[in-house]
Amino acid sequence: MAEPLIRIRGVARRFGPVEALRGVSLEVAAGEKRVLIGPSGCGKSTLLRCVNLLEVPDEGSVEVDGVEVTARGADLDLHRSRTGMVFQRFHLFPHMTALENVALAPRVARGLPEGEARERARAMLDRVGLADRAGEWPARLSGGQQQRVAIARALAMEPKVMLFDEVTSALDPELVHEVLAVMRDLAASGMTMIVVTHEMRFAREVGTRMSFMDAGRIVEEGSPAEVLDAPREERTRAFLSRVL
Amino acid sequence: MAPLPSSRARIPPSPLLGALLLVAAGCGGDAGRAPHRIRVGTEAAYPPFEMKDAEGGITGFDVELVRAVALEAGLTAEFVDQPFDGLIPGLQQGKYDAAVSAMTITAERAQVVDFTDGYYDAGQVIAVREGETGIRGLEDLRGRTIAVQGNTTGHRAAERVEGATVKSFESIDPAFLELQAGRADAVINDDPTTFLYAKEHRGIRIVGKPFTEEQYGIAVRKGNGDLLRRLNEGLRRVRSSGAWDRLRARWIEGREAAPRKAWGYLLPGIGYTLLLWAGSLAVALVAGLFVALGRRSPRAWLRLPASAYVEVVRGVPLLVLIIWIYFGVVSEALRGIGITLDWFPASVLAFGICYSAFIGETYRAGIQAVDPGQEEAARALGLTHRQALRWVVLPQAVRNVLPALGNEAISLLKDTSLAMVIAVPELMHRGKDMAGEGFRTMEVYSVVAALYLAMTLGLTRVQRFLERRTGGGAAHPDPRRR
Repeated sequence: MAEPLIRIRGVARRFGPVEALRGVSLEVAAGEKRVLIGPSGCGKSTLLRCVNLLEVPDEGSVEVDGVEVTARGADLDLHRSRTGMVFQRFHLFPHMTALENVALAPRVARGLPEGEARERARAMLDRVGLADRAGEWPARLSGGQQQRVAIARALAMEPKVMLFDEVTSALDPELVHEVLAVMRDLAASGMTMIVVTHEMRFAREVGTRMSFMDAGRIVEEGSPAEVLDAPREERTRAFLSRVL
Repeated sequence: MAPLPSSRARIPPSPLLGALLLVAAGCGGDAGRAPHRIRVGTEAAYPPFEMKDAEGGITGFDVELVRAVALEAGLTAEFVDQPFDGLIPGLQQGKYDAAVSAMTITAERAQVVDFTDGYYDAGQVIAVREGETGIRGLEDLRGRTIAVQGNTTGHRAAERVEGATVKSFESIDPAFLELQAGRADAVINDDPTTFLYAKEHRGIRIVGKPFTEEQYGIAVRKGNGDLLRRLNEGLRRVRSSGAWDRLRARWIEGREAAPRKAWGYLLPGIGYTLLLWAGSLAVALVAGLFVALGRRSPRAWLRLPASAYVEVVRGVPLLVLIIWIYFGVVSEALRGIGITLDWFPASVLAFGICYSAFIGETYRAGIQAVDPGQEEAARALGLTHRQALRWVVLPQAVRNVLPALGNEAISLLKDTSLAMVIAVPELMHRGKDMAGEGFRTMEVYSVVAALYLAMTLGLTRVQRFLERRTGGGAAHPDPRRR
C-alpha cells in the first residue's frame, strides 16, 4: 500500500475530565472516502477536528502528506487551508453574499487578486449548482443551498482532503439529497474525504472504508459492507441495531 | 439685564471641585521675567467686573483696568476665559501670567500666589426678598438658608453663620434665582455685583451695609517679582492719572449694562461641541477596540491591564478625569518637556479615555455575541486569527453593537458640555454666558437643549443609515437552520 495521505497516531484529547479521544490511530489513503460512524459523544467529531487541528491533540501526532502538522512550529494556517471542512451548521459568513463567502479565503489567506478570487468562487458555486445564487445573502438561501455554498467555500482553497462533520444533520429531510448529490460528485472526482455521518445509505454507496467509534476509540474498521452487514464487535451491532 | 456680580472675593477653592483643582495643580513654576505680552486669566461671567460683550470679546472693569495698567507698564495684555475655581491652578501651571477676576486678596490665596496692591474696595452684603422683614443683619441668618456662589468670600461668610444651611451654586445667578424662588432666605455676595443685581431685578433688596472690608487684587505666580513690580507701578500710575476713576465711573457707577448677546452667540458653540465630539469619538472608537481585544486576549499581561483600565476609568467621574488631565499629571508631565497642554487635546483625551472604557465593553459584548463557529469556519479555511477577526468576527460585531454605539455617541455629545469647566467655549458654556445675563436662564437653556436635541436627532439618522448599510440582506446574524 502506498504511503497514506493522512496518518493519525495515538491521538488523545481530553476536555477537563472527559476523555473524548483515548489514543486513536487512523490512516487514510489518497482518494479514499473514509466514513466515521458511532454514537453521539463517541469522539468522531473531535477526531475530525484533530485532523485540521481545530482541536489540538493532547497526545499523539497527525501527519498529512508526510508532514507532521502536530509538530511544534508547523504552519497551521497553511495546513488548514489545504484541509477543507464543512460543518453541521454551515457557518456561512452572514455579512457576505454567497460569492463573497467563497472568495474570501482565496483572496485573504491565499492572496489571490480580487478578480481571480471571484472568478474561482463563481466556478466553485457553479460546481455545486448555485451559480445563479452568487449574489444572494446566506439568510435568503435554504439550508441545503447554504450547505452547498459552504462546500464550495471549502473547495475554493483546493484542499487535499475534505472533512464533513454531520453536514446533513441540521437539514430538513427534503433538503438532504441535494447536499449528498454534491458530495457524491465530489467523491467521483477523486477527492479524499473523511465523512462523519448518520446517512448509512450514503455511507454504503460512497464510502470505501468505514470506522466505527465508541467511547473515544475506534472499535472496528472495514469496508462499509463489512461493518454494516457483518459487524464483528458487540458494540457495533448494538449501535447499528438502533440506527438501521 | 446684567449678570450678577458677586465679589469674587472668592476664597481658594475648598469644596469638591476647588479642592480637586488645587490638588491637581500641584505647585506652580516660575515664569521668570515678565514678557512683553502677558496673558491674563479671568472668569468672564461676573459683570460689571468681567463679562463677554455681544461679540464674545472679554470686557468689564477689571479687564479694562488691566489693559490700562499693562499699557502703563509697557506690556500688552490678552485675556483668557477660565472658570473661577480653575483660575489659580491655571495661573500656577503657566496657562497665563496673571489672573484678575474680582478676586479678593486673602491670606489663604496669598500662600499660593502673589497679589498686587488692592485695586478695588469691596465688601459682602446680604440680599433678601422684598417684604422680608426678619433679616436685618448677619445674626438674623442663624438657622436660615443662605444661597451663595461656591468658594467666594460670601460662601465663607455664610459658612460661619451658626446653624445656617448653605446652598452653594456654581455661579451667582442661580443663587439669586434660588432666593427669588423662596428656597433660600438670603444671598451673601459682593457689594457691587449684588447692588447691580438688586437694581435690575424687582423683588430683591440689600439689607444694611457691607459687613466686611475686602480688596480685589491681581494675582501672579509666586516668585514672578518682575511682573508684580511692573503691575504695581502701572496700577499706581493708573490711579494717579485719573484713569481708575474714569473706569469706575463708567463700569460701576454708570453700570454699563452687560450687553445682551444675540442668539447667534450660541452658534459657534455648536461648532466647538461637534469638534470635541468628533475628536473624542474617534479616539474612543479606536482605543475601545484595543481595550476590547485586550480584555479578550489569552495573554494575562494584556488582559489584566485592560481589565484594570476599564474598572478604573469607568469608576472615575468624567469631570475629575478632565481636571486631572488639564490641570494635573498629564499637563504637568507635558510642561516638563516644554509643551503646554491645550484645551482641545486635553478634552479629547479625557472624553476619549472615558468613553473608550465603555465602548470597549460594548465591543466586547458585540464580539462575544458572534457565534464562535464563525471564527472556527474562518480558521478552518486557513485564515489567521487576525484575518478571521478582521474579515469575519469584527464586521459582525460592529453590526451587533451599532445600536449601543449610537447610544454612546449621543451620550458623549451631551457630555462634551463638561468641557466648560476648562473654559472650552462649546455650546453649554456659551449658554451659560448668555444665561448669566440675568433672568434668561430658563429661556437660554431651553434653546440650548433644543440645539442639542437637533444634533442628536441628526446623529440618530446617521446611525439608522449605517445600520441599514451594514445590515445588508442578512436579517439574521446567525442563520443556523431554517
